[in-house]
Amino acid sequence: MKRLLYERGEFMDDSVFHRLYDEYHQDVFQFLLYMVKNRQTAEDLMHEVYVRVLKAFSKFEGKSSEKTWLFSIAKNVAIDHFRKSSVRKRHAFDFFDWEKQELRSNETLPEEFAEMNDEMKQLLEALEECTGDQKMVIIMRYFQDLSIAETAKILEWTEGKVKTTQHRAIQKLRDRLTGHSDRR
Amino acid sequence: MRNNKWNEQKIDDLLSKAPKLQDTRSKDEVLKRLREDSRLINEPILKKRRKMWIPSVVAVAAVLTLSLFTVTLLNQPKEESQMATDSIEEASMESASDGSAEDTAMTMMKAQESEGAEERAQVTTENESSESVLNSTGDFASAVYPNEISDDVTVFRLGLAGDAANSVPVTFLIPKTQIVADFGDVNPSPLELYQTYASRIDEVELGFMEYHPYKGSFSVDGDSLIHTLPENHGYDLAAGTFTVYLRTLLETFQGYSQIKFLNQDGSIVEFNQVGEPSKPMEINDGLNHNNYFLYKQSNGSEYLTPNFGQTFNSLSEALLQMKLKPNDIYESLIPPDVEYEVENEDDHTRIIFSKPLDIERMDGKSAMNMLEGMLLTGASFGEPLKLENVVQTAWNGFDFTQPLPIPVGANEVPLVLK
Repeated sequence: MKRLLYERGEFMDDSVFHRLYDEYHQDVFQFLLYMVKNRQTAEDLMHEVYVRVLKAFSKFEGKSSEKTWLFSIAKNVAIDHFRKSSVRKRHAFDFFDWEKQELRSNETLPEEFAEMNDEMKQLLEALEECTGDQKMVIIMRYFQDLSIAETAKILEWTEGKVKTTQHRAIQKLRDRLTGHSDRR
Repeated sequence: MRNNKWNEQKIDDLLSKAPKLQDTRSKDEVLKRLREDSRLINEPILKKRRKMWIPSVVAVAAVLTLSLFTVTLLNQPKEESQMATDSIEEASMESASDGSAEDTAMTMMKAQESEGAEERAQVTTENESSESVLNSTGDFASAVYPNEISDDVTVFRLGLAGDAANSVPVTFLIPKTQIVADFGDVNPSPLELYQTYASRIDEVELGFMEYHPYKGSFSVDGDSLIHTLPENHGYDLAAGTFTVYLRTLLETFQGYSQIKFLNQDGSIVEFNQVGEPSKPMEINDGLNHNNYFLYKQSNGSEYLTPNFGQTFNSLSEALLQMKLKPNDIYESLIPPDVEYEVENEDDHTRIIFSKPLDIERMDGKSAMNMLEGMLLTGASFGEPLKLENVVQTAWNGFDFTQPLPIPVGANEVPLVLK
């Protein structure tokens, strides 16, 4: 008979899932959807987040808040997704360095994106041209309303690095968007 | 005309107004999918344990041994209690030991294990009560050391395909009875071992993706290995798949100098990811000049592995770089408050801790991970390490007054055959 982890242990009961879902599901899902821009992929990644969280829940030590812990797992799942789907022609022993490379999604935009005004679309397209660390910070700080301290915790960075990266991201977006306008 | 409508303030404002996106599925739908995920089915954690049945007599003996150890523990001074606790947990797992231990100098902890693999007990997956025992095992050591190698076991290394498009080096100790059954009295070569066991090892049961055996065929030319690949082998489809292919080869076929890649017509393979006829890949008999980090599979199992095969020119550099978390996949094995310098000697390398390292005050698993990560990094350069400025002169069988032994392999895992 199949038994689920969250059905047997002291922590792994349905109530864990229900609580996590009620408190964080839409936030984490939105983060993933903005990262990959494909609803089906975001659903798959959300599932993966739950699998990792539920399997590791008993090991959660409370060193960070539950929220930052969940987002750090979601971030790892998203990076894994980009790593696995990476088809760049690169030397075999090069690393996938998500901070320096683009975490670019070439997926079809979901309905919500299609309904956005032109400026918002241009902005989100420009975001795809930012490096992975810049894209991640913009999504966390602006779209998820995470604080600098929370973002630093999730990314395992210093707060200074979050601020610098955010600043560079805005500059990069401005440069891209200005260039974009020039070409028109 | 330059369009200046995009200034930083405007971008800032617009970003703040990005629409909220929702998951339109119901909570039940999300939960239903989770219930169908086999990874959440209650399974014991497989770690460094042989899969065998425990005869009921042995099971009774296990309980008795456990009781004896408990009594012993109660009478022990505090300093020894941690090791005794480990021993208890070992005993509870492996009390089928008949005491035929060979050289027990390596670890006190491992002294509780019988190296006679036939006698080794594995709590089987069907026994639910065994799970708590498995989960609480205090067996910190994961590498294989020279004193564990004898005529009774054969070392078989394999690079398994991890969840993160990476390779995880693991080591099997195959009991002599199995070797004799499969090969008779002949000592098999690394290739023969691979050809005999790779297809029978249950990678999924071990928590990995089904990857082996490789497509195509292998042959030996002198000390070179030749991998003859079929068309559409797919190993070079993407950077990730290609890395896994090359890294698993490196970690599987130690014992050869290089691997050549040929098409079935004998021509040299041209990999998509390289774009030119391939050159033979040096294997260097396992001296790959890597350093080691902590890697967690999605099922929670932990392994000590190189960082996607990053190489270093010198052992000193490799050891010092172990302090830095290299990326999102791997964790440093060195606790943040541990600092050290590295000095080269003629026949070994010294690691000198900046502050006296009191291992007894560290978490046992973290301490062992750090030590083994360092030793495996040394092994990747063929170099023994001596640890200095350690409070204890010995710990878990490691004698810090001497250079420590070079591990034979990383991540010992049970031989789980299909």
